[in-house]
Order: sequence, then C-alpha cells, then structure tokens
Amino acid sequence: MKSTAGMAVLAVAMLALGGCGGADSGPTTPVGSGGAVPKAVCGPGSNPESGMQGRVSSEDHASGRAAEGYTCNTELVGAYTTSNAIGTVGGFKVERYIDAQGNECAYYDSTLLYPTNALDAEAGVNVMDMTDPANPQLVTRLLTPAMLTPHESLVVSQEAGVLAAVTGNPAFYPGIVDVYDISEDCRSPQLRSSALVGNLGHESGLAPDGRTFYSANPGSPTLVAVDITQPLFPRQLWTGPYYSHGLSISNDGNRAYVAAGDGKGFMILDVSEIQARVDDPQVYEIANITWPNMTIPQNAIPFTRDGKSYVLEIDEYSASEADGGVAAHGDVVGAGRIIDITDETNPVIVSDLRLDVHEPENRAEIAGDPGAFLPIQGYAGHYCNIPTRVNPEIAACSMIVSGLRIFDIRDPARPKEIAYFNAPVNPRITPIFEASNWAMSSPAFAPERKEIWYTDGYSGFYVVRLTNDVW
Amino acid sequence: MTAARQVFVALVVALLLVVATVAALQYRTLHVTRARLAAVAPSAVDVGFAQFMSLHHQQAVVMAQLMRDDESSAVANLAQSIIGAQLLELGEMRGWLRLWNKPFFPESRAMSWMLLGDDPPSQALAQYLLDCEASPTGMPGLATDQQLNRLRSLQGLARSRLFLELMLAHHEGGIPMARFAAKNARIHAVRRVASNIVLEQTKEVAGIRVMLHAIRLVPSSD
Repeated sequence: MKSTAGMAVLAVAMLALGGCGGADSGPTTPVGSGGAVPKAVCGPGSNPESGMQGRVSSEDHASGRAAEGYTCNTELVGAYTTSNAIGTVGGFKVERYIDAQGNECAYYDSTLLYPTNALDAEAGVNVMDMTDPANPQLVTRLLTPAMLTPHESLVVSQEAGVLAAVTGNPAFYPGIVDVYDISEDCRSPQLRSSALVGNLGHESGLAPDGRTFYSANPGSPTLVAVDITQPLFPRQLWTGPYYSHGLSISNDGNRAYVAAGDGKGFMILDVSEIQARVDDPQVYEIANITWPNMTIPQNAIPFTRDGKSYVLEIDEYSASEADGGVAAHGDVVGAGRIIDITDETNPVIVSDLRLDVHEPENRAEIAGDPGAFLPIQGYAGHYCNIPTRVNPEIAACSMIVSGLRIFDIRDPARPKEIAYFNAPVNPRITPIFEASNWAMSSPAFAPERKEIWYTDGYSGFYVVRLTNDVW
Repeated sequence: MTAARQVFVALVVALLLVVATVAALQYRTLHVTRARLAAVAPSAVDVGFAQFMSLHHQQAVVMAQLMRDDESSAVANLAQSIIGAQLLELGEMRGWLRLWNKPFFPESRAMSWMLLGDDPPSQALAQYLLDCEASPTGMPGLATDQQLNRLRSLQGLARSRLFLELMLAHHEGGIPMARFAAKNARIHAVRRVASNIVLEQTKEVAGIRVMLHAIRLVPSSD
C-alpha cells in the first residue's frame, strides 16, 4: 500500500509537470541542410576564382584580375553590353521565346531601377534577335508604361506566346498591365493592351497557358489575378490579401507557389477557382514554411524529379537577423533552397543552394569587397531558374556580386556547384555606383546549345555556354 | 500507521503537490505574460526612432507633394513613390506611438536614443550625432524653411534639380537612423519597418544620383 500511495503521488506530480512542460512546443519549421554547396571543379578553358567561393576581392579589382572575369566550365558566346555604364543597363528577367516561324528571341528589362538606364541610352524592354547567339541583335525596344518600368514583373507564356508585365518599383506604382502577342513574330511584339488592372506592381506570375496574369507586391497585401484570355480586354478576376513577391503557377494553373512577404516564407495557394473561372473565386492557403536564415523570399519555381515534387526557392539580399529585413552586408543570407512539396500540406526543405561568401563565419572577411556593403547589391542571392520543370539537371542562379552560378540538382537533396560565369568588371566612368557586378536576373536557357542567358545590371546581356560536359 | 492513515497522508501530500503545481503554473503563466508584454513594450530606441523618423518622413512627404506635377515625369514618379511609401510608414509609426501613448513627434531635438544601441557607438555613428547637433534642423539632411521656400519659388529644371539635391541629402541623413533602429529596436515590427526604409531609400538614392547626373549634363539657364 505504501508503494501504491507513492505511485499515486508520483503519477499526480508527473501529470502536473507533464502539463507544465507541454506548454513548450518544439520548432515546427524543418531546417535546411545548411552550409555552402561543394565548389565546382573547373575543367580546361576555365579562368576560375582563386580564393573563397563566390568572392571578388579588392585585391582582384586592384590587380586587374576582376577585369578578366571569372569562368568555370563556361565560355562567353555573345553579349549585348555597355562597357562603362553610368546607371544600370540590365534588369531582373531574361525570357526566351521561339515563334511559329522559328524565329528565336530574347527579352530583357534594361534597368534595375527606372530611369537609371536613361543616361546609357537604354530604355524599356529590349527585344533581341537570337538567330546568331554569338551576335545578339537588338531589333526593337518596348516602351509602353509597364515595359519602361516593369521592375521584376516581365514574364512570358511559352504556350500562348504572350509577354506581359506590370508597372512596378520598390514601393508603389499604379499597376498598369501591358500585354503583348509574340506568337507570330517574336521580333515584333504586338501590343494588345495597357490597362490599369494590376493594383500595385512589383513582381508577377503567369499561368503557363497564358490566360491569367498575377500582379504581385511584397509590400502590400494586394495580389491580383487578371484575365488576359482576351488580351484586348484584360479584367480583374480576384484580389486577395496576400503579400506576394514572385509567384510561379503550376502547369495546370491550379496552384500558386508564392515567395511571400510579411514573414510567410514560401506559401502554396489553391487558385483552381481562378483557373476554372468560377464566379467570385475563392483562394485557399494550403501550406507555408519559413526557415531560420530567411531574408526576403524572391521566387519559387516548381519542378518534379523522379516522381517527387519540389520547388526551387531563392531569397534576395542579406539581413542582420532572420526575417529581419535587408541589411548592409548582414550575417544572414537567405540564398537558395530546394523544398520537397510532394505532400503539399507539409513542405520540407531538403537542401540549400549557397556559396561560401554567404556563410556567416565568412562575412567579416569579405565586408570590404567592392559592392559588398550596398544593401541592394552585396554577396547574396537574387534569382534562380531551371531549364525545364520536369527532371531538370541544373539550376542557374544570379548571385549578384558573385555572378551567374550553376548547380547540379539531379539529386535535390545534394546539390553541387558545377560552373560559374562572373563577367569582367570594367571601371565606372562616373562615380555614381561602385564598379562591381550586379547579377540580379532570372536566367533563360537554350538547352539544345547548352546556353544560359542572363543580364548583369552593371553591364547588360550575356550568352554563356556550359563546357566540359557539365550539363 | 494504519492503511487508512497512510492513504490519508498520501492524499494530503498529493493535494499539496497539485496545489504547488497549480501555483507554479500560474507563476509561470504570469512570467510568460510579463515576458511577452516586455517584448512588445517599446524601448527608448523604438520610441525615438518612431518619433524622429515620423518628423523626417513628414518633411519628405511635404517636399514630394510640391513635385507631383513636375515637368519631368521621372521626378514626378519619384515624388509620387515617396509620398505613397512614406505616408504608409508614417501611418504605421503614428499607430505605434498612439498605442504606446507617446507624442507623435519628439519633445526635444536630443538624439540620445541613438546612444542606446547594443554596441558602443561607432565612429560613423558618433559623427552622425555630432552632425545632428550641428544641424540647424536637428538632423542632417532635413531641409530648412529657407530651402523649402526656395524650392517653392523655382521652376523647371532648377526646381527639379533642387528637389533632387534636397531629397538626396534628406535620404542620406535618414538612412543612418533607420539602419541603427533596424539593428537596435526591441520590437520586431519596428526593426522590419526600419530595414525596409533602408532598402527603399537606398534604391531611391541610386535613382536620384543618376537623375542629378543627367540634369547636370544639361546646360544651366539659371
């Protein structure tokens, strides 16, 4: 009986203490693997970095090494650049499209911030004839309102042959959505509409079928779905209270993969009622996930690998603390990650796409490098893209001062760097910006020629080929 | 001791344990509640930032409103953008101050709240505070009444140019304050707004510099 009474006391006490401890729940956010990916092994013809992965040091600038540029399993095929730009002459998106006649075109926005391209005689969205990739030809400029200042919203539907954007800037611009038909002759886009249907612009998304354009703003909860099925008569379908930076739409148009603002991280939205054109469509939040080194989620692109579903997500810039907003060379760098969404209600981070320059323990050493300290530049991530949504072998990421970085993602849990191209740094004639690279753009791919196209805000448009059979 | 007495003692002990546990839980809840309240209670940095940046933003909005119809569409767009962004931030800051029962604007020009960071003041911060003391407006870059009146009196390119020069100085004077608060404010929402101001105004500074460069290339008529 004595032991019975003792057990009763112990049981009551444990019950009480268990309740006490139960108030503390553990972290529910899965954590990425952490750390930089393995460095690329550079083959013949490369002119690689000699120091830290991703670094362009002051010594390299002073010695002239940075002016040579850095290559690793890449070669420059062609370019359309401004050698001593005053402002910024490359932007945030590069798109590729081949029209019904077989003409091959590139489109890119020509500034990081309108109108900082004006003094370099650049404006709007450049339309490039890519018949000869070694010699990209500017055939026209798109100068309608959204094309003049699309910020990060330029987007193309391969399926529909539609190019669209919304007027945007870092804060607020009235959301004029421009829609072009590029299907007949990609070299001569035909303006179909320019209408105030985007609320507040900044980033965007486009359903692959080209029927629904999403105007997104990470600073205001004003995500808008615009019906552009009849490009001459765009109309708003839905406005939702979501802070959205870039968003990608699933192939069937039923899911939006959102790089979300307001601390939400990556978010999956059910937009099937918009896609189905249900009257008064409702949008449902399926899941969201954050991560300890989150800065500003920029974009999230879905893909499948061996039957499993993933998104490639990239954060922009650096911060002093997780989710703390941008900082000048902060210790926290979001960079890229692969998230398993096979169970879309439970996204799980499976790996990170990061360089040594993004690691907290290396930040102090590189703080004095040109471009490192500017909050809107720096050693950090900005955009990634993949050549296909089905079993992509590579991902290419614009990592600002570190240039274009290419990763092997065949094993999504163990990405590794396989190549890079960091353009030659020429001196600035005018001291408005520091001379250092500013690779900010979402790249495009010409897989049949193993080419990646991207822009650097500092110098312009580049066509880069991967060599040594790394792709 | 009889079995009944043993059970009685055990029950009394159990009851005491339950009472003690409930008391401990209540104490813990009180502790957690106090900690949560402390986490949302503003520090001197939070209040100082909200008050001084409100003052700073108010002048930027006033200046920008003068330029909404500027002949240069780039300047008019910039002005509109500044008005939109800064009015929103001003509203947030005033909302905090109202909740904290604090005045919308500082009661003195003393920037001593910027000495309350986690780290000792850097050389750059010390210089900034000296510049604040030396400035006729209390903050470097804040335009004087004479400068604002001159802006009102000018026209054309000269007006655009003075606006860009004043706004450049205004942003460059405000960014160190925002950077300090982004690191040292206690409340997460305050740090977020402060770092967003750093981002937004750094971009605008880049654009203003290019626009000023363009204007300087035009032969002056004044």
